[in-house]
Amino acid sequence: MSRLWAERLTALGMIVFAVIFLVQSIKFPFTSGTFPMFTEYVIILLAVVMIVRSFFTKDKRFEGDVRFDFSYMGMKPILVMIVTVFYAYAVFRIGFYVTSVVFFFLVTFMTGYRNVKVMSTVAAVLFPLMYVFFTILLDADLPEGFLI
Amino acid sequence: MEAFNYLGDVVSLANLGAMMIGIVVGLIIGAIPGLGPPMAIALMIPISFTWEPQTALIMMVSTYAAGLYGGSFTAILLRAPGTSASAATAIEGFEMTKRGKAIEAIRMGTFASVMGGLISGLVLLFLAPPLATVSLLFGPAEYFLVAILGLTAIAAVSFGALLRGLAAGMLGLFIATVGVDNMTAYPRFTYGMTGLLSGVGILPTVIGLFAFAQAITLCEGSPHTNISGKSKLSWNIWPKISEIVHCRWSLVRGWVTGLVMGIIPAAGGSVAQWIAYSWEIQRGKPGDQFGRGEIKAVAATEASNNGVTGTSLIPMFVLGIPGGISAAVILGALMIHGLQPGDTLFRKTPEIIYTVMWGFVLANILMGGVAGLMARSLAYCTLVPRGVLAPIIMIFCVVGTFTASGNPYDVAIMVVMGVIGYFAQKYNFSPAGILLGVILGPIAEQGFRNMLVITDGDIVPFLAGRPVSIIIIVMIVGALYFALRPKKWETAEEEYSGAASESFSEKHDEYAEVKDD
Repeated sequence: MSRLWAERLTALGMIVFAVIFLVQSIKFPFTSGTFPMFTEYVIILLAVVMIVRSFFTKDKRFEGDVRFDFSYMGMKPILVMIVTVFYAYAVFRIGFYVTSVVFFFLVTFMTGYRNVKVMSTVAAVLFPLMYVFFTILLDADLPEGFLI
Repeated sequence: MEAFNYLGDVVSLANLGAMMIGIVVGLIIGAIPGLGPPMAIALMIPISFTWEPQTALIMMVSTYAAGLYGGSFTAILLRAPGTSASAATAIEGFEMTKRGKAIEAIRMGTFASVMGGLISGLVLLFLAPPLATVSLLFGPAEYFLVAILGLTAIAAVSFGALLRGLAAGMLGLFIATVGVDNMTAYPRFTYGMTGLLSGVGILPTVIGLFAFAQAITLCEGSPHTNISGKSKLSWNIWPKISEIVHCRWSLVRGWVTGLVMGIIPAAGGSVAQWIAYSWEIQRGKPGDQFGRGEIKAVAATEASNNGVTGTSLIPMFVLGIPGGISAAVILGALMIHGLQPGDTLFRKTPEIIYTVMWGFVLANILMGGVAGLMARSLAYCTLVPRGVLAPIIMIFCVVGTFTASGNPYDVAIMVVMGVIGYFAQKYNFSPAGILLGVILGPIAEQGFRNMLVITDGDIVPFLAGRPVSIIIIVMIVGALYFALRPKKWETAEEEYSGAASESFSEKHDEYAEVKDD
């Protein structure tokens, strides 16, 4: 896809986003909707300017194509995001320390790092230190589940 | 000059010991994303409950100064700001780290922060009562205008993608409207989720947009390389005279911004850093490299956020009006020790208040030494392989966010903001713009609506009769003019546009070295 079309699609996405929330903001009682509506109108305005500009611009930044990398290397950040969403959920179900140790090894493996000795050493130092600092020294509440 | 009578009182073993504890705890807690100065100060209250009031308060103000600076360590080294006041430093500081200049960024940040805190402390000591009256001149109109002044920084931090930067800022302002409306109690965009009723906090936003998004970025590419691309770190942790001379005006601009913004309740370091950063970009010279690791920007942002520390305590000590969360916690501690803020504090217990103020000044000096050594040790994390560092940052993001609020929804918000921040960074939508919107949105909205109520919709004559408002409006117009005008350093950059960016980077380094010499 060309960069110009990517710009236009991005602008269209912004308009759709703003319109969805604008419809809701209009229904807010009293003056509650005024400020959100202002932001939504400005987003729509900016998107329209982006679209109009895309037809006249000679800016070199819009030359060439946008390429999507669907290989494992290209998708790695997305996969890590998905794993993190599960992690953020699991810490409150299973417990912080157990989930975090599993998450640490899993994400490190996902990035392509394979030195198990280094990973184990880091985990063996990091998590006891976190326990001492957060649980003993700060007496902080950490996410809890059915395990620690 | 009554203050000088109490200078000797601060130099006691108990006071110095308390100061050191405050500095070390503040630096460590401040460096961890999520655990900012308010938490560190709150931690000190039960410990110091039975101590002499001045000793306890010296420990707290030391923690405050050090905590705010500690946030810059991780901002510079990992793009994971420990506090929201270090977010602007994260942009340029981390770019310097990527170019193998972490130690240079840290030593300039340390100098700017220490001197900023010191100057701010001296202003607190000698000018507190007259300056406190200035903060009373700020009403809803001025809060609204200060927020608008802060928002002009979006134009500067967009780095050439102005439309996308503005859209990011608007998204931030929109996100700030989520939650219960303070004026009508109507829940906006909460969809029945109780966790969203209190809105989207600044802390999960800053951690998500910067730290978490950075951790995801670290997952790209080879997991065996490190951030800085170096295998050794310099021990040269003290700033060179040539570096200070090179950044002298940036430092002055940062300190002035910090001192002024500190006096305004609710503004603080989170706003001051962006105004200082934007000012710096507008004043850039040919050869400057904003957005790709400019030491002048690190100097200005760090000077501003620590320049705030002393002056932000002025309204609290003199009027009993805390300018921010940290000042509110210190106010609580003050009252726990049986002291009343205001005129009585200065008349009846001058030996306590002036000793605490001297303690704050001395703490900033001591902080320089401790911070330099601690930052040097922390800089080792830039040598850790990216594949190992990324999950560690993510784990700290989760634990930091949860520890700060105890709200699982904040962890979810942080992750969502991290995903937004990652894509915003990748597609030039300025995460800094989103953060600015989230920080300034509530101030702008509430100020504007309060102003409408007070004036019954007749805003212009109201503003025209308020000198402070007029001054801020002139500043906004000036900021917009300079933000939209082509900048000297950008023009110089275009001259190099045919060459690769690396080549420009080399040219800049040569230029900087020549200037240093």
